[in-house]
Amino acid sequence: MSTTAQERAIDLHSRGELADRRRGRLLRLFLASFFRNRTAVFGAITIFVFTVAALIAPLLPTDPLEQDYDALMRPPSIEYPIGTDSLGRDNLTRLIHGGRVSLQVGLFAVLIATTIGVTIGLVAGYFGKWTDSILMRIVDVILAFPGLLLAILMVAVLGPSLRNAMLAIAIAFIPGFARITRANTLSLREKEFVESARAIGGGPVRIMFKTILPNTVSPIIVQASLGMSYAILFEASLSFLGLGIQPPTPSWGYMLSASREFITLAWWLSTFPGLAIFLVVIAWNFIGDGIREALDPRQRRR
Amino acid sequence: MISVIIFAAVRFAPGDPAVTRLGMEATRSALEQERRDLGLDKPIYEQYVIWLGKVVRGDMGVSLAYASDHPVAPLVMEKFKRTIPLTLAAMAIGLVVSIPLGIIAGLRPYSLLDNIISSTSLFGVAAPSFWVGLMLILLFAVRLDWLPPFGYGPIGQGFHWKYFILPSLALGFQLMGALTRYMRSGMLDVMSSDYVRTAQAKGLPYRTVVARHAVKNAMLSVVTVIALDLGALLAGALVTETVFQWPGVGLLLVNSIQARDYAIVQMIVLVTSIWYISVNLLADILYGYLDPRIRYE
Repeated sequence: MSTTAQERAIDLHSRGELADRRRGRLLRLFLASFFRNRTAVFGAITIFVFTVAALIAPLLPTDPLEQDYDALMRPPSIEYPIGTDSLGRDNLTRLIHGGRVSLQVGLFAVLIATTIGVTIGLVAGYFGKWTDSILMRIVDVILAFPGLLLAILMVAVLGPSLRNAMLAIAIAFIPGFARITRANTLSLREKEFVESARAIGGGPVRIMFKTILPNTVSPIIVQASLGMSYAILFEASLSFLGLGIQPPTPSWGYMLSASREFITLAWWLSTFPGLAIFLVVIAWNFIGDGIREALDPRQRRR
Repeated sequence: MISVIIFAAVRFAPGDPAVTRLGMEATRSALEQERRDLGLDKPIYEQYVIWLGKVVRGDMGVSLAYASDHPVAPLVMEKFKRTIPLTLAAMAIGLVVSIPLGIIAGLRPYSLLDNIISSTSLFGVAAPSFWVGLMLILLFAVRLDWLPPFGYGPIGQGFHWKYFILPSLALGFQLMGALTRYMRSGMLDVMSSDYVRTAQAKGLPYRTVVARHAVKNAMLSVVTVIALDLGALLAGALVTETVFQWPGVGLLLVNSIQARDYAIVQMIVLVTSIWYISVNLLADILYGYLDPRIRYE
């Protein structure tokens, strides 16, 4: 009956290797399935292009704030692919720089919301009873408001800025992550592998984050990529209302807001920033759907 | 009935203190001395009790920016009278267009018609409503010159119906996108279910199967999600109003935020949240009606 420590170590080691190999195979299967999905690939390419553009924006030779009074309100041309605004600033440069804001807000808001939401969900689901009741009531309070209204309200209270817009959007998104994680944790904590982790002396923190979390990660990823699309939409709405990042820094929402004054004169000013929002939002949606379908064969297209 | 009221109470309870808390934080940050006579130096819980007591009696406090002794409630309610028709029109457009479209798309998945409907609805979901509004202005006001771009009516005169069309279209379009998608996936699920197959197998005409078995059950699965969107519609109206300079709650909210007029902000948020919760509650009741198996204990 007695196995030596060495034998056990070898056994554990080979099992680990097996798991690694299995994980690698699953990853390949997932990627293959994801990339067979045309809309998902379209989404991934779109996001890639916008991300690269946002990253290289500071390296561009053109300045989004540079005004040229000899080129006011120019329609799209070769020199200005999508025209210039009322101060003669190059619209394409502004659009690319605006993408940085969107990307930044989306990324950080979703990151914050995921971290907090998932932690709440794990703790509530794992401990249950009154811990669960209290945490979920707090989450319900957030859910009692329409998300956008909550974000508007918080920015109104904290004062408009990029950081506050991020925080407001993050808080509005916490319930989604918390609820999904809680629901999964509730069913996972009764499973045998969690039982065994507890039997070998794993503490609650270790079990929550090392045993349960990896098994509930896929719905969270789906939620996160859909969250990116909503975060970008919310950020655009906030800066359209003047509650996001403050001018002169260009953002898509602000560009659209400023274009209203000139809508009878310059169609390009109100068209392209909105098109950019639309493309990015739809791309994240496609990616989210693609991941969901690739992870869950039951949801594949009929 | 009692169960419904208890449900309402549970949903309402967390909402109110949250509204108050956010409002309180706001007042603490600015204009402390000047507001001492307004009772803002009292402990927060005491303020809250006073505020809540007033709210119950319909007194929402006074506006700080508009006029020093101007009560908030009538002012905000006046603006809601302009926003609610907009929301209702958008809702009507959304429901009337999206349910038939969703049914058609769900009955013939991946057909040409479905692809057209699905991509249009995707556009509705992903395009921000304020941008759709701007594009509508460009098309109907600037290019075609059929409708006025902004406002509530001709300057100096009252309301005119021509000014109503574009904002409600912009808002309705956004709703339409989401609802069509729900309805389509609801139909997809139902049409592949056993009871629809049974109904067809026993020789019922296709029309009857769709109308009596499929649509009702598909509606059932989408009622709750629809309610969430209808509830959020009022919040969406706030942004859309800004595009069209529609003098309703949205414009008032934006102006009040800029003026740090928290009594008004507080009331708008409160009313919008109550609306949101009520619509969801209504959906739960409707759900029970559509599916008699569900009983609220």
